Amino acid sequence: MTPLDDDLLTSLQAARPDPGYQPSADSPVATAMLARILQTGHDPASRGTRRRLLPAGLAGAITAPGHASPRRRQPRPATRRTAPRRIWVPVVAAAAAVVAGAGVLTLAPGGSQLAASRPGAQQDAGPIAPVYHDATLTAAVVLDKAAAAAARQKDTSGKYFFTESEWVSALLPATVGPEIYRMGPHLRRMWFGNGVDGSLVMAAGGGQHNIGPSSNSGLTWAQLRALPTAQAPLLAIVARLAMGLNPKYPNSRAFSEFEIIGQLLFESPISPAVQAALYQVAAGLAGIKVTDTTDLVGRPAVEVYMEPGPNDPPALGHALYFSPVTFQLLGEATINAANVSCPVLGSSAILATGFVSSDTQLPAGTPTKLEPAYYSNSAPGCPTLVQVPARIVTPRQLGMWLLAQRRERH
Amino acid sequence: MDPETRFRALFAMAYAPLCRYARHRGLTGPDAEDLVAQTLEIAWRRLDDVPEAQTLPWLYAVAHNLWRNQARRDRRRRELLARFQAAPAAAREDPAAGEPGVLRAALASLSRSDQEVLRLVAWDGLAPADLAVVLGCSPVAARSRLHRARGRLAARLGIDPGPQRHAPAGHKQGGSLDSLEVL
Repeated sequence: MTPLDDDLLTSLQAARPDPGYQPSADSPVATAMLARILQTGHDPASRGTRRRLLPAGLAGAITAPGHASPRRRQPRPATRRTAPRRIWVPVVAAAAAVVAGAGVLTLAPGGSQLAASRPGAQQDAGPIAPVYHDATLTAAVVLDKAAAAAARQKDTSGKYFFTESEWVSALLPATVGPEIYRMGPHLRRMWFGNGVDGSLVMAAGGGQHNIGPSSNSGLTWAQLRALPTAQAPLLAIVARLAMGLNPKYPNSRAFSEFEIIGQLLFESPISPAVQAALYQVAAGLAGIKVTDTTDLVGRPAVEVYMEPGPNDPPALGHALYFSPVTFQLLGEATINAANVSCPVLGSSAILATGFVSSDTQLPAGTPTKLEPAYYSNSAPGCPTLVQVPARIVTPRQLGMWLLAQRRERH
Repeated sequence: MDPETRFRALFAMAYAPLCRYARHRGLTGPDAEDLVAQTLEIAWRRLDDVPEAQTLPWLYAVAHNLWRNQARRDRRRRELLARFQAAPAAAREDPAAGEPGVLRAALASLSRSDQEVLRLVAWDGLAPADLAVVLGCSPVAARSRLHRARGRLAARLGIDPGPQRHAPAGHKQGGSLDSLEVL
């Protein structure tokens, strides 16, 4: 008797999901997949265990310079506008780690209700004057001003929350070499939906690539909208989320909480009141510092940042960028804690946000043509940065490209 | 036959079944594409190891291991998020109401191992001999595991398991789904 002579299994067969699904090996997606696989080369000699191929896990793959002791951070030159930055792109990070064993630098993105207008990338605006010299403008004061700015905003909502941002990201694939690999700059548009819908569109390689829904914090729309506005319960939630962020560093508290706050803020439909509360919670964290800088697209910014302490994951710090005028959030950055005079490792610049009614609609004023801004890729005396080709956009593409780099190297 | 020609034929044969395999496990979009691409990339790299007689079961075994690893990572993330109690996520409703929904719910209530055995047979169309390749056990053990899983599904549904409830006596449980080395 074959299994499906059985009525129960026959019924189960009829209950399979999407019975009309008919994928084709001749489809453009399949054809592109085949071409990418064949590009990797047939190499029976490379067979081995995953452990051999990926000698270290995600955390272990990070080969950035070691942990730097806490110290006062020197303001970076104001002309550092072209420094490399990154944004955290969850799907890119996860898949890159899976496929290529890449240690992926983490993030501290941020978000705000900026006007839905594109500031435009300044090609070469020359040195930018320091945005403040007031000793009273501590990190806590900046965050208090950001909280006040957020609290003044009107609470709105919609079916989708749209964000357009420019980003670069850095990866440290230990299996390739000591270099830091840089993705971007790319533009991305994200429609975070009230429910399970939504899309993330990356503009790169001459086209736009829909790479699926994304949520930085991993929380649902309902969870984000239900965050409390009182500091104590909000801090408790942030602390709980932070506990799972760096499991190898159970005593990492404020550092992880600062990172969680960035995740909750970025591309997130939270209310202005919750934004304000998050800034106030951040203002109470030990170890926050402030400097002046410019963001990925050249806007002057006040940077509130945190470097890792002895109990925190080494090498990387996190920063939030604010407008020195309005104290609205402009973006985020991941900084090289081992050498703070080096360019930041990755960053994002928020260009437009707003609630819309569909996952194709743009807020009023958002340009329809995506064009990455100019930026530079290296700095003297700092880690070598290897640019990932602009055509590499999806996690799969990135993983396979990194594997190819490793094969070439070894 | 040179490797590329053979792999192109393998790709043409296996792409659609692997896409359906991913869909049957709840993967869509880039997640499904990643699983299919990773599976086929391993097949390309290990082409000399791919059995010509049971290519598809071999690929299912690879896909299963990849999917299981991904599911484990997703589970860890869900466990983390479960600690966030401010607003529980809305319960997902099965889009297929009625009997298919009931069957799928009953299937989902079984152990992951039982679920996989039943999915491989009922949804992916594997015969017991092919099932054994995926499970890494003997055909007899595979059939035994199928019968036991089927009996537990019937019990969940509150129906008479029927004569197939009785697995062949004296057969040991087959090898673990985890037993196949992917890379």
